[in-house]
Formats: sequence, structure tokens, C-alpha cells
Amino acid sequence: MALLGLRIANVSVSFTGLPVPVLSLPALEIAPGERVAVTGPSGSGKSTLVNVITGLERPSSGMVLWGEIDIARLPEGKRDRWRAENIGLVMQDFHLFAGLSALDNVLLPVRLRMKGAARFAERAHALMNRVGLSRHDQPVATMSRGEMQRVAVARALLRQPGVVIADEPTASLDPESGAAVAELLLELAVEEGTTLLVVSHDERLVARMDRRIRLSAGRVAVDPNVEAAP
Amino acid sequence: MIRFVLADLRRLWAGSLVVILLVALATALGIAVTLQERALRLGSARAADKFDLVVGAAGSETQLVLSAVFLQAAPLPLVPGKVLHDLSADPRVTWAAPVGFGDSFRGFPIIGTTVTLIAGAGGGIAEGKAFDALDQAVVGSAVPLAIGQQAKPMHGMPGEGGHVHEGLTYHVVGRMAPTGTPWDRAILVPIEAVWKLHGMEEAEDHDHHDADHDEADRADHHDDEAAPVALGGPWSDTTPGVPAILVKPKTIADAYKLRGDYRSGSTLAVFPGEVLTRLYATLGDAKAVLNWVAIGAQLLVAAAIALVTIVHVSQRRRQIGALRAFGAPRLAVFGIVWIELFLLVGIGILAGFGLGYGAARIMSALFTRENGVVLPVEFTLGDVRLGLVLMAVSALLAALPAWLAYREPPAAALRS
Repeated sequence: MALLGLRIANVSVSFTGLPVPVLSLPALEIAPGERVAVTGPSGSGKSTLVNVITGLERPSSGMVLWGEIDIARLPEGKRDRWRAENIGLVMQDFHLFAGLSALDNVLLPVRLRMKGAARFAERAHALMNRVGLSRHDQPVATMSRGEMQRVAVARALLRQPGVVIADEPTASLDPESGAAVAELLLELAVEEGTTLLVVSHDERLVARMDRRIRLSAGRVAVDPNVEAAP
Repeated sequence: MIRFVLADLRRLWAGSLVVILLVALATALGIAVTLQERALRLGSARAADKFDLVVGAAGSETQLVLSAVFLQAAPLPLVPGKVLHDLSADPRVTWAAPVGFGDSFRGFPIIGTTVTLIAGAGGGIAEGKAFDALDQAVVGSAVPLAIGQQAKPMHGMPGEGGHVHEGLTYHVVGRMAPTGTPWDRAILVPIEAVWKLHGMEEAEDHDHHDADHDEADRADHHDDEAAPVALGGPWSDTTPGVPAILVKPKTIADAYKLRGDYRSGSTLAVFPGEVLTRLYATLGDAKAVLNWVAIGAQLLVAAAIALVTIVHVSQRRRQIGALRAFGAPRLAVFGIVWIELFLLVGIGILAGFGLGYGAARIMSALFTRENGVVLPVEFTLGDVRLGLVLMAVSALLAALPAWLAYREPPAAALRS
């Protein structure tokens, strides 16, 4: 999958009953292959930003262009497919499915898409080895939190997405595991050739990113690219 | 997808089990009522099949049939021996046999009759021979007495207390083939023996000396050559009364004529089938009530399952949202929720059919042990159709929460 760049124009997300939009982005660009951190206090619109750029949520207005495709205009089913093909998601709560083995968790999304999932098995094993997991058939319920997040990272990368988006990937891990997962994300983004966007409070992770965007009250408060511009 | 569903169900096995059990029990209730009622109808009809016409003294038709055909002991008024005589001599009659109750042995009714009924009501001699003396007996297939064993008659109906007749001990000389009717539990003895035990012997027939000799003899030792009485008629005007007479008419027309002839005055003639039809109507009403109870229970269970489902799906919103976020198509989400619910309810329904069948079988077996009537528990095409309809309805019901999951926006689901 080719590296994907993001171009956002006039995006605004409003909820009925709230006077101000929870997210308002007149313009935001992320270059292909860039490694970007998004920070900001809770309620600043970080999660909404993740939802909008992953296509989980449609903005009230504006364009969300990944490459040439405006995912804000895609109907729900097509957005789901686009996300499955182009975005690797890593979340704070892992969202692994208890009752399945680590390997089955990695393969679950492709299996549910039912597109010759078998051909992904080899890559799944390779990725699990790469993230440092040796017991591929271990039930996830018996894993440590650090191991669980490694499974989630392997799952995110399975379909060679153009971009990996991680929402607080280290927040629910102890410092040691968090550092290891952060290291993995940074290394794998380069190895796999993906754009990386991380929402995080983790200073050590944020500090190692190419660019740090700070959100506040739904707007970009600090963005080195924008400050350099005027 | 199936693997995910199974893993999910395994994870939630306790709740899944409860849902399956609820569905199974509710289904079983309805199935058991249907099967049992049908079995009762079929079984009683088959048990009455052999009996074309029953003649008794004027009284309750139902009681006459229950006593004469199903051997449900009850004190019946007696018909005079002349009726037995007349019926036996009637050219329209193939055979007419008296049925005399009053005694029992270990809960098995002792029926005084003639050898005709061994084949006419029972299954015919399977082992040994028919009785040909006052102290001989032929037992039904369900009576735990072997040929050569003895049975001391106890006065009184089965299940009632009573005293043992000291005068006579029956020797089992034959065993009948099973019929699946109450007659499998019967001990058939000569009607003359019953009369004699109850002091109803014909005035001038067989001399008393003989009988006295009989009793004296019996008290000391077995004497198989005893009882030189003539058994099984011919009857006369002085023949003692009997509670009921089973009649085999020659033709259907004869049956109707005989019924007409013996329906007036002091006698009563009934077709058992007719009486059973009336009983079924009553049974049908009871079944309707039970059916409503079953339907009520099923509605309650359906409501409970709907509640469980809604709670379950709302608790799983995050899981559903995550599935979508990681790339599962909406149809897969729909499929997972639908398959999971349909699997639970479907297994429950199937288990309910099995459970209901088993319960009906057990109840029928108990009934057979008590009354001898074999109740055939069987499914019909209608039951299969009912099963399919239930499956279809549950498939539709399962689609509702599946559709809710399908419609759920993933971002909102993840936020919850």
C-alpha cells in the first residue's frame, strides 16, 4: 500500500445541542510518511479528529482527503471498506476479543471481510514474531497488557495500511511496556512504510515524532507547520 | 465468523446456557402437552378398539366403559344373568363374555370371565393354556406371575384395602401376549369362581357338596383335578348377575340393532368409541387450557429473551463498534449478532422438542405402568411444521437486534 497523505479542508463536526463545533479545522495537511503526534487536554477534540480521519464519523461539513479520496463523501459501506484497506488502528483499550487466540485476533478483521483470509496467515505469523510474540495460539485473555497491545499492533499492520493511527496506545500500559510499544510503532512505521499519527499524552512518545500538533477546544492551537507558514 | 460466534458463546457460556434452557423449557411445555394429549387419545382409542359393544345395567355410560374396557374398578350395578344368556344365544352375536370385577391381587385386577376373552380382549395365549377349572387363572403380559405360581384374591378394588379371600387360590396356568391395553395387567379367571367367592352361585347348578369339597381340599393341599364345574356357560335364566358384558356383534348393522335393543329399560348398551369421543371433547377443553398456559409461558420467555437480547446488544456496543473500526463489514456485524441469537434460540427449540418428547414418553410410561394402556408418543407432520414456524419466527426476532447492531454508528458505539 502506498504511503498516504492527508489533506483536510473546512472540516467541522457539530453535535446537536452543543453551541460550538467540537472540531473545527479550516485546513490541516499531513505529508505521506510523516510521523505526527496530536496532543491536547481531554475534550479538545482529539478523539473526534481520529474518528473523522479514520472515517468512523462523518464530519458535518468539509473534505477529508486521503490521497485522492474524500472519505467524507463515501457512503458508510465504502468507508468501512476503505478503512479496512488503508488504515491500521491501535487503541488504548486494545479491543481484542476474549475467547480467541492472539493469531485469530490478528486475522479476525480479514476473516470477517472474507476475502481469502488464508493468504494473510503467513504475514500474520511474521508480524507477530516481529512484535515479539512467540506463542501465536495463546488465548489473549491470558496475556499481559503489553502483550495485548503488541497483538493489536500486529493486527493494525496486517493489511499493509497506508497509515497507522494510534489513539493513546501507551496510556493503559506500565512505563516499560509503553516504551516498548512506542518503539515498535516508530520502527514499524518506517519498516512498513506507513504514515503514522499518534494521539498521546505520553511525552516520551510525543517527543520522538516528526511533528507535534496541539489541539484545544476543537481547534489547532499549536502546529509547527502552520506557525512556520505565516 | 462462525469461529468468532462460537468463541463469543463459549465466553458467555453461563448466560447462553440460561437462554437455551429458558427456550427449551418453554418449548418443551407446549410440545409435551400436545404429544401427551395425542398419545392419550391414540392409546385409549387403540385400547378400546377390540370392544365393539358393552352391555351393562342402566347407569353411567362413561363408568361402564371405563370399568369394562379400561378396567377402572368401580362398583357397577349388575345386569341379570338372563341378559348374558340372551346375548349368548342371539344369532347376531359372535360372542358375548361376562366381565366380573371385585377382587385384585397385588394391585392387579382379577377379572372373572370366560376363555373367549383371552383372545377377545387379551392377546391370546402366549404361554401355557387357557383356564379350565375354577382355581386356574390366565395372566396378562404385565402381571409378574409365572406359570405355576399362585394368586390369593384380595377382596376389593386395586388400591383399596380389603381382606384376602381364604376360600380360593388361583393357579396361573397361562400367560397372554401383550396388547398395550389395560388387559395386560389383568388376571383372568373363570367368572364362576368370582361368583362363588362372592356367594353368588346359581341355585341349582353344581352341587354345593362339590364346592365344599373344593374348599376343604384347597385348604390342605393343591388339587389340580378339583373344580369339576362346567365353565363358560351355557348360561341360563338363573345365572347370577354380572357388572358388564362385552359383546362382539357379527356385523355393523347387528351392532347398531343390538345397541338399540339393549338400551331400553334396565340395561345399557354403548359403543366404547362413542363414549371416548365424548371424553376427548372434555380432554380437548383441558388441552386448550393447557395450551394457553403453555403459550403464556412461551410469551413470558420470549419477552425475557427480548430483554436479555437488548441488554446484551447494548453491552456489546463497544465490541460491535470495535469490529467495525477494525474493518469488519456491516453485514458481518449483522451476521454475528443474528447467528449468535438464532443459534441459542434454535438450539433451545430443538432441545425443547427433545425434552417435551422425553417428558411425554416418561409420563406415558408411568401411565402404562399404572393402567396398562400403552400411550404412543409420536410426532406428526403438524409438529414438524410447528417446529419450522418457531424457527422462522426466532430467525425473524433475532434479525431485530442484528439490524440494530447493523445500524449502530461505530464511533458512537466506541464512545459508549
